[in-house]
Amino acid sequence: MVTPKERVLKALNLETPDRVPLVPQLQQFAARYAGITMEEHLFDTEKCAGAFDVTWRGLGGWDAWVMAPRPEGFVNDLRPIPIAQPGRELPPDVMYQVHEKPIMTVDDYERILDVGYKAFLRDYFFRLHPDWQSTTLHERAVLIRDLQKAAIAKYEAQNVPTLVGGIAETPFDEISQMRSFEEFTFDLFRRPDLVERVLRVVTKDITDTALRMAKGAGGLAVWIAGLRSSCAFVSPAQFERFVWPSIQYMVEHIIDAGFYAYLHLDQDWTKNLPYLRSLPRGKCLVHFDGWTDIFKAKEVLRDHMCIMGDVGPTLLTLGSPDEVSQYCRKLIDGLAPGGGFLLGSGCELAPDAKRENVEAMFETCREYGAYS
Amino acid sequence: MADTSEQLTRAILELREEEVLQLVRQRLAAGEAPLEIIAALRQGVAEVGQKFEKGEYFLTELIMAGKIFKEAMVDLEPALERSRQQSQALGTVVIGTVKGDLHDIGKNIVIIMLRSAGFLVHDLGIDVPPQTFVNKVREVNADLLGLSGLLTVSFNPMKETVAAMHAAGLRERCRIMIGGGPTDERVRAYTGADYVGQDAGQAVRLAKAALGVA
Ligand code: B12
Repeated sequence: MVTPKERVLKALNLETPDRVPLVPQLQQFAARYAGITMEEHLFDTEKCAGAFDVTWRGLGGWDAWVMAPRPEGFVNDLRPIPIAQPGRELPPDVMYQVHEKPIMTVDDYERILDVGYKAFLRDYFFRLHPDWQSTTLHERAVLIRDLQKAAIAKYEAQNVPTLVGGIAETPFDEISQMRSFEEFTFDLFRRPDLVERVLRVVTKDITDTALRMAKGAGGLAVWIAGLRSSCAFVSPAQFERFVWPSIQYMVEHIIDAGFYAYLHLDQDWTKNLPYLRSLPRGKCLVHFDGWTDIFKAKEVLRDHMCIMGDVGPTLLTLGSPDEVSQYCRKLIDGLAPGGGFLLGSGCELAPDAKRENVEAMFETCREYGAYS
Repeated sequence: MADTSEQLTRAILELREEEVLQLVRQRLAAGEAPLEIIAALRQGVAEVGQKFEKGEYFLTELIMAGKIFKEAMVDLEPALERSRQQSQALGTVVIGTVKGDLHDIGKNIVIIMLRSAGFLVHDLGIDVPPQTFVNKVREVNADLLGLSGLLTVSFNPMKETVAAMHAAGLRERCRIMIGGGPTDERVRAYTGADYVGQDAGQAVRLAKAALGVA
């Protein structure tokens, strides 16, 4: 019997397993599936774990967790943007909401250069959470690490790996959210040199923090999210100056520390694919959300980097099981040959996906995904 | 005059913020009609939009052009009022991101493009309930309603907004277009909207088609 872990490792290492591994990024869907509220899913450790277990059994399991099956609400608290959460600012059973506004100011760039990003963040979090104590940040980080560690170990004992132990965004994405997308865009034109210098400082600190988390919690990989940093947003010249150097630095240090680099890439990265080709072979996983041409990605990254994706939100919510199954077959036909493919959702599996559509996705992978 | 108009158009096309603002002030001081200055600015943003559609310019560049246009308008609007000139809009559009959804990057791009094409656009922002859309459409007598949404859970509020337009008796005289990442023909059919647009360029083409303007 091939274990899920063996299957996933083979794909990551660009080999051919017994069948295409099934790796949905299943998070909030578990709340809907198991019938707990979003508040419970985000903050109640036991109910959250219970809902993940119910979903796991109900759907017949899969081959790896993307995020550790632990409550996400505490992680949201440690993101440097205001997030309204169910049961707090929002009614108990709705999705959490990210409120992007320019909380970071232009003066803060200088401050980051003066004191470093980690020290800056400590102050910055008091702006977001005026009620926090000086020790809160550290305590929260430890809490998350311990929750991740326990959740990862629980499934690891059944040979089911978790991909993500440490979490980071590209510095471009992180600062863009703290400044707000529009203000940050103006900064790129009005003070490019300053932004470039700041991003360099931030890159180092973000990488350190993510690696510390991964070493403490376990997991196969460190997550690097690129959400608004592809050429769907920035020009190639801006990409080369403000985005790519950070990704190269992060990937290199993640690999050195013994992890895979998990590039979680939202929106359209088709134009950026050639850059990915220059990253170290067999050490990275790239996850597309349905907007990048994943078939084109296979052409460019074949035998170089494991690809994951990309059953998208619209199909899973409004499509039929037949349509979902057809799309999964198309993915398997196009991406499985030669190995190095994980069948997954486009970004997070849509929380309001139809149950029968998710079942169709999973069944198709298990049956049609066999390498023979 | 043609020369400075061209200079202004070029400055915005090349995203030279300071230069645009300086030129606008100079020309206002020289007593030039604000509408002519605006025409030159619009031309610049429209050319940025064309380059964007051809893949020669990128989103950040479009946003910067929109910002420069907006800043120039701060100087131009009082002058417009003084001269009692009215710019002739191609039509009136009400737009917003539907209830529960806070994404607005794409919607704001659509607005930049619609405005530079000559539409009068009322932006209701994000997280907009159906009734707020209906009220605004009625208040400004809009020709077209644009609904943006990037979440799958936004499909229902879109549908509810279309239904509310119906209930208010506005459905006949105001067309409805939807857009935003995950929307497609399937979502259009589900919500009962008239059109779905994949990008900002298409939003402008749809708006023109809906209103029967070239
Ligand atoms: C940037 C972003 C954010 C930013 C938003 C910042 C802002 N001010 O808008 C932040 C970080 C705040 C955010 C938050 C969240 N997001 Co978000 N986000 C994105 C991301 C990466 C890019 C969206 C974007 O700006 N695209 C660029 C613009 C230019 O494209 P666009 O919006 O599609 O617009 C173009 C066209 O669609 C069209 N258009 C747009 N509107 C209209 C309107 C009309 C009338 C017409 C004709 C055309 C039109 O023209 C535009 C220009 O060409 C997408 C990923 C993706 N693949 O889209 C996820 C995505 C939309 N987010 C998603 C989610 C789930 C969320 C969150 C719930 C949290 C989370 N788990 O990530 C919160 C929800 C907050 C809320 N309640 O709304 C999911 C939605 C999936 C789903 N199941 O529904 C996506 C698809 C990511 C994914 N693949 O899972 N997000």
